Amino acid sequence: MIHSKVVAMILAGGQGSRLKNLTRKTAKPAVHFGGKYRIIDFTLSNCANSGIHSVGILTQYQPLALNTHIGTGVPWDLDRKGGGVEILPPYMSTEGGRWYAGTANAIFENIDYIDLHQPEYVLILSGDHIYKMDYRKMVAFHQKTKADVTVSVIEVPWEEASRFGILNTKDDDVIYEFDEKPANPKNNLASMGIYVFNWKLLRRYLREDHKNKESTHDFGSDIIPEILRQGHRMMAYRFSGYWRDVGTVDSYWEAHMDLLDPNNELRLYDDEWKIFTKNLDVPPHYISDAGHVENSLLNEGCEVYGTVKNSILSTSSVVEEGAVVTDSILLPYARVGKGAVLKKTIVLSHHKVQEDEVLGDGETITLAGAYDMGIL
Amino acid sequence: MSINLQGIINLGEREEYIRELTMNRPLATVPFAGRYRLIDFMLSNMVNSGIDSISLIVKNKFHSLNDHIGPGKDWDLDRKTGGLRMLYPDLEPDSNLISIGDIPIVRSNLAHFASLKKDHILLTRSNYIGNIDFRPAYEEHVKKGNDITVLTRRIRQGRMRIDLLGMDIIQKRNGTYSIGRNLGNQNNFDLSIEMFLMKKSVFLRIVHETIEEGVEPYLKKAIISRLSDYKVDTYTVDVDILPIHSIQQYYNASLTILDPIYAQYLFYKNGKIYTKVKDAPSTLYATGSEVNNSLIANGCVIEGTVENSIIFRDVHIGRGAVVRNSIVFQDTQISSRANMNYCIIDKFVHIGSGKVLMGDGGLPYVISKGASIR
Repeated sequence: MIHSKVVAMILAGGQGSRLKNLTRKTAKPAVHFGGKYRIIDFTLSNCANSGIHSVGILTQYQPLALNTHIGTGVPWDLDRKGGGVEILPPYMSTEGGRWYAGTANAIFENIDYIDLHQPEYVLILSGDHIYKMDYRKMVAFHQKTKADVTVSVIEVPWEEASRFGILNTKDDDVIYEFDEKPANPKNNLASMGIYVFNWKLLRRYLREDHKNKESTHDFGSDIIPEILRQGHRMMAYRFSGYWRDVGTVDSYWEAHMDLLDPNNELRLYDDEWKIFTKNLDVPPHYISDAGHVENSLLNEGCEVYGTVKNSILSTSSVVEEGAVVTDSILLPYARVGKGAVLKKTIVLSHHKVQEDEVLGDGETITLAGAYDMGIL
Repeated sequence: MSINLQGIINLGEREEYIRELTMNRPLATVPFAGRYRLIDFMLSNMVNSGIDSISLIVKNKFHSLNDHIGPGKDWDLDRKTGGLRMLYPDLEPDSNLISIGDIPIVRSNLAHFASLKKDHILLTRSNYIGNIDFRPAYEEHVKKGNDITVLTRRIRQGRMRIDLLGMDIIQKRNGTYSIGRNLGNQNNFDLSIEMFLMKKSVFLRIVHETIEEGVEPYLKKAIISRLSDYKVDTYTVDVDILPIHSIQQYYNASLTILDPIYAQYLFYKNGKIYTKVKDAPSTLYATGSEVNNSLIANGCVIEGTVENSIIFRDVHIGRGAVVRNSIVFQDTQISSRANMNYCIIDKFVHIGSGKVLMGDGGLPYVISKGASIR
């Protein structure tokens, strides 16, 4: 039922420059995650599992890996008649060509796409978060509370609140103020960058925002404050569960280490809410007689002839004899040569660590490989 | 690039020597190598050889086959032209009996065979495991103008090979080929691996004649009995192929893929092996797990010890459990401190904690689908 009323728009054009070499040649949503996935798989699977059948993906920065990954949307059952997944890059018009100038501008430029589906609600999502969420529940909350806008929020520890966009709310979770990275936070409800808008209302504000020369055309800094200023009803939808913005090398590494806890909140093994991804048609992984694996996550196609501890081995990565890999992440088709020793190292896809090479001091995270094309 | 060759996989296989694993499924969908079914190898070999139109002659137990293959999407066979076609037997309205042999299924689908657009066919079984490029054989078949080309494997010192007993052997006498059964008397011989390249016209003629005579119920025997009527030659396939007719062959073939060199050949040589996607996450190895010389599929949680074994998707092996020389199918639960050696455990089995199950290398112990040992 939800699919006829809701169109999801996934913002996937960001660079994610704090991920350094991981995103030099790849958009952040296409960065490999969790052994077999890419970051955007979580959002796309949430859409699929929530019964949303019209999904627009806004791309801009280094889209090649993202485009080849998404294709026609088959892995997420989004190859559909009258909907499905649509990749929406910037385009030329009679007024000339222009890049997306901000998150709100990207949606503004695709008003025609949304109008095509005549939705009641538009769900704005980010393609770079790791979480499982049933958007149906958020839309139902939006309807029940008769909101014009609903923002998904998560409680963060008070001492960390100043790192987030904080939403100040009244007792009934009505939002009255948006505080971007407040020095003295009045609340600890952080915005997850997930919004439900009544489409008619958003459409109007996007057009006004487009005319405003002062605006940065951003949802957080322009659209949300303006809608609040005009006195519309904006609700905070409280989400509890695993949610990570893997925006930095540190947080990317930590989110991987979370997966080594068999009881972690993300619950990847839950059959009721699978995370889908493109299938690479490789065989099961192999651990040799001399191989040793402990407290680690291994994906299909891997071969282990050495030692692996507290690490994540993505698709078809190989650890040769005598190599010791600890607290590390091997991205797809990475290869660790004989006798190499890795500590707290992320090896980019297709990169080969030379024989007897020693990487990582076990303190800070080392990135091995100049860049990741993201293409497999 | 596609070639002028129609694939036909005949699933009318004999299953009596692999009965435990074929109670609920045809031989074609017996799980193999951690994430595949037997038929995946033949389908992938054909697709990787450029064959874009494949017919399956289906005998029984359709559910498992349909569930696995569906419209053939995972093999790129969901096509407007060609693609995958399942050929079912006609069930008589006043009888629920399925006729003996595969000729009745062919008869029910004569219109399909007559309408095939390709000039040549490749008739195979689903129970030979390998990574085979059919193109060189096909090219030679066309170049020599053969009516029938029988694909073979050359066996040397085969007298001691118990695993080859009862298999088809091909020999040439006075200029004509004949195919018989290996009784273990010959040392050097050519094995027929039940793969035939044929002119479509020849295939249709044999089928028509056989149906008109109304005696022979089996397609393979019908072809074999007419070899002397046609221009026949053999083509020796030079890659390793594992036939799977019995539990023992199944078990040995499974352990063969633990050899990384063999696995490299089987999974990659002439193209990848495709199968139905299950979307299982990566496998988690707990602290205290110990895994050696084993092939492990995705979606598992391994807390115990695994040695010389093959573990399929979504299996849980509990703390202190020991699995040796065994094959464990998907969604099975091996509880803590359970201990097993030389076992084949089918899908959805529950082995309770502390249970001990022992087979033998010569006769693996098979636990059937859904069993619960508490």
